[in-house]
Amino acid sequence: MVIFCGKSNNNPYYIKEADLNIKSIQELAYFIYNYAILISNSFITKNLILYIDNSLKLPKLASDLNEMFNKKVNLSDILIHILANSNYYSDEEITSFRKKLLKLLSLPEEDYILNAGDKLFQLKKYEKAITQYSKIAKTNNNAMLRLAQSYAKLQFYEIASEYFAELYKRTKSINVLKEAYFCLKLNGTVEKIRDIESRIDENLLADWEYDIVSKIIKVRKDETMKEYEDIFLMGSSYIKENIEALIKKWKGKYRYIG
Amino acid sequence: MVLGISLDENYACVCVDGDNNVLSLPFAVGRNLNTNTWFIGDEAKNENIDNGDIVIDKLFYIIRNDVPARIGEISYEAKELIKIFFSSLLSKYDNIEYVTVVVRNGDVRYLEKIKYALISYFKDSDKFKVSTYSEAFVSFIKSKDAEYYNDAVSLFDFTEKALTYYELVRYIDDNNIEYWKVDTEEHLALPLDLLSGDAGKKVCDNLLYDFAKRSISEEKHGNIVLSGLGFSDTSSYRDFMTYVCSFAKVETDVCFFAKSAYLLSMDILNNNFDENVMIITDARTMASVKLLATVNQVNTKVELIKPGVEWFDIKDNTFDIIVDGDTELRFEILKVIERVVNEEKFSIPEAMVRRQDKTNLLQICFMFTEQRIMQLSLIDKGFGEFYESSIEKRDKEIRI
Repeated sequence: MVIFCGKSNNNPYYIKEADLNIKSIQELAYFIYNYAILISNSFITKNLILYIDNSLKLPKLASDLNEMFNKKVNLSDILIHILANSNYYSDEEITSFRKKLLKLLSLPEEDYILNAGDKLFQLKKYEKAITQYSKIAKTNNNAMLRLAQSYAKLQFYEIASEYFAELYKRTKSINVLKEAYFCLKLNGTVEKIRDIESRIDENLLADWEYDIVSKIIKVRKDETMKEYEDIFLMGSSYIKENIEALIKKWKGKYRYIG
Repeated sequence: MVLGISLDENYACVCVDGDNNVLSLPFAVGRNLNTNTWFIGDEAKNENIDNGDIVIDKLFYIIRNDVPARIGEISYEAKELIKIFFSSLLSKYDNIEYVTVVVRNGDVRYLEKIKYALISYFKDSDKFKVSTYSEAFVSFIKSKDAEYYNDAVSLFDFTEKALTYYELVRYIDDNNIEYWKVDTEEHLALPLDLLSGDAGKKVCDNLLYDFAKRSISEEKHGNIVLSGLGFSDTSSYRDFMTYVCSFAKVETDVCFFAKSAYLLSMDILNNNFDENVMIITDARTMASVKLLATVNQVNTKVELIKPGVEWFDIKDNTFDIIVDGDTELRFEILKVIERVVNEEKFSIPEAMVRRQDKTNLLQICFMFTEQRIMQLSLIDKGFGEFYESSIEKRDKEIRI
């Protein structure tokens, strides 16, 4: 199937719930279809309707949504109306979405939060995922694991290792301990490293070390890593200019932490 | 002030507000190395090397072949030289409302450089038009009463570098669409200095006569126009003139294209274009190109290119598509003159269609490099912030 979408729109719409920008009706529909669990009642706003009207050039859909918004039509029906007018999903897919929505609404609260966290994790929105996992990590081991992984993804290795260590206490899983060890190695926290090393078998430790070295080699081969290393090879003024841009990019990513 | 400018290999002709007194100047630029001043036209032609003047009189070839030219110790790009030419020329006129520049052939590299010069001067693309002689010829005919063009109208343009025949024919097809079609045919150049002697004049007359006999179609002819410096004196072309006068009224205008370019300017300013008439010239697309795609769950043919639009001026040339499961794009090409439909296929590289769930967002981009050659590009755009682009790109040339 080849779907004709027309001209590109360069004006993005920010979806606060997922810290995500979309630029087309197809992307909006895709978000609704695959990430419905992240959508709350505040998703449909006058701004979104204006965006659909002015930037996506879909006045008919915008007018329908405006009417539904004013009549306080329930959220599920509004979302389905968007999908049906998105030039993207078929009638069968919309029927399946309707069933998926019903399933979501019947999920127990803890599962709902975990699923929402997982969707954010999948979108690489780790800071948002942390907010979800933190709500249930005290009682939910899966949430605790994801919480630790999210911190590790954000390179907060010390915090990540603490959560892995906490989970190890609960589960006694050697894999969790390995994750904690990796994070400590990456963070260079010597005392805690020695503490773990003293507790495990020498051969196992050798395997872990081998894994770490393999991962480092893999990362060094990555183009992005090469880009960062090249910046440092170019001299001080070049470093200043480029690292500032890099830090600015990272700041945007980490703005929800702290 | 409204201007019409025609450019050929050696001369630029400028018609101001439809005035019959057309300014003709050599298509050349020069620079005085002592004073660092630029000059164009006759001033450039009358260079004084002892005084520090350096002149580029082969400006047309430099621009068409996109080669740099050295003046003193500085090497100038072709587009900078034409910018200097137009800037000096246009600065002679106050309050220019609109200007149309016409050239013989729609060579995209040449046209782009003229556009660059004009946008640099005006800083506003709504103040000018760059087009071809054929388009100016159409505007000339439109300015006449319908009786003038009831039958085919012909034009011979005879300059130092080319002898070209234009013929405009009107007809209505089976679908009740009215066409104005301009055909062109170019003959080998005849050096104008041949005309200085009687023998040379006779040779020219013979060649013109043969060319006319071969070119003028069997269509019923209304009027014939003779243009260009080669027709500044027609008295020596006895056989040729006898032949062309046997068809209908013949008029001669050495600066025909500058005046017609002015008429084209006026057509643009007055939006004098009939949507029910399809004009087909060397400046226009001769086919419609449709993409077979789905819109709102309905299989349809989306028209990407309309016939009869100026191919070197196509601006809305980028569209997004989502490909799910298909491995090729299919285009339907309808040639309007021949009424022939062809299908062209464009294989999509596997790397562009690897993603699942309808997230293979691709951009189709097209442009014309010549009237009948369309360059298509397919670029993987990723899918918003959900999926990054693979940076895959594939090009294809489609001959229309």
